[in-house]
Amino acid sequence: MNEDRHEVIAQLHEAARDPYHEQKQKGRELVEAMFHQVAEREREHRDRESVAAEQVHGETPVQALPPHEPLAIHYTELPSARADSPLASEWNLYRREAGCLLAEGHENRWVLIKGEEIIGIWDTEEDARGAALQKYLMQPCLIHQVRSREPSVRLSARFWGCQS
Amino acid sequence: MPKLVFPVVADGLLVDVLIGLDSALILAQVAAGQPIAVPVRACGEIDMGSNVSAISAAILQRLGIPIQYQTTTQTASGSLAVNVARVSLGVCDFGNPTGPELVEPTLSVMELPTPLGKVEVLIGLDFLLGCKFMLDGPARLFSLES
Repeated sequence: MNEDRHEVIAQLHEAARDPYHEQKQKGRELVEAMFHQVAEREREHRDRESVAAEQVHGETPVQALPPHEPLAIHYTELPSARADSPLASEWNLYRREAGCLLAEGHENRWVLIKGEEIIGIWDTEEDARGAALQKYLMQPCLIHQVRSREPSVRLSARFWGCQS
Repeated sequence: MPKLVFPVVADGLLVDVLIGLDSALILAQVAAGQPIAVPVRACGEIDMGSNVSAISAAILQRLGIPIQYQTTTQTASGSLAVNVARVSLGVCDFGNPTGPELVEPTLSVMELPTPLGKVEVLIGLDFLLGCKFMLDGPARLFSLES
């Protein structure tokens, strides 16, 4: 008796589930078909474009695309350091002196700053860091590459404390 | 190939992490006859939205790692200066003592401006691009392979 009841319930559940799965499968197939169509259209469009481009550029020399430039800001737009940063004075001194350092031809070289003083300028980061480790082991000091355009890092919202 | 496999949990893609001084700082400390700080363990989260890894200020302080670099980042309210330090970073599985450890002996990391609960390290693309990262969504697993 109990088994019969279980079987009936299982059949009812299966009957209810089938149309749901069928519907879901149909929906999936429909979406896939649509995506496939659009992708095909896009491919054809690109093929046509490249044929047209070949016809045009067959007669004129192809111009290379400009090189990809990473996100960067001009040295005059460098933000000030956070007030609680251990490198606040060093960073703010660098912001004030960056123009002079560039004008003196130090672009791409590495500067070491401690407090309100520029300790030295080196050609490589290793040399600047070596000097920093020798003079200020385990102390904060600024090692920075002199650049007219400062690269900017990409950080996610998670970095700022947001939940992902 | 050493491979680490972790489950995908509700909190995200979490891994076990060891943070220590970077190799140049260790050598300088040895040369100066100073004791070397032992790496500290922490909870890390994979963060593919950042191109640089980040570490809580508390860990940097615990290890005595000085801030020696600054960089800038863009936010909705303009550009901001961010503190940067050099560390060594290893990803491992504390639950698997015989498992491998993926180590970067020198990595520039941002100092996290705010604590993120139990997560103290965000593993960014700078670390991930040095290994093979695979996410198996249906199995709720991800792996890191050197």
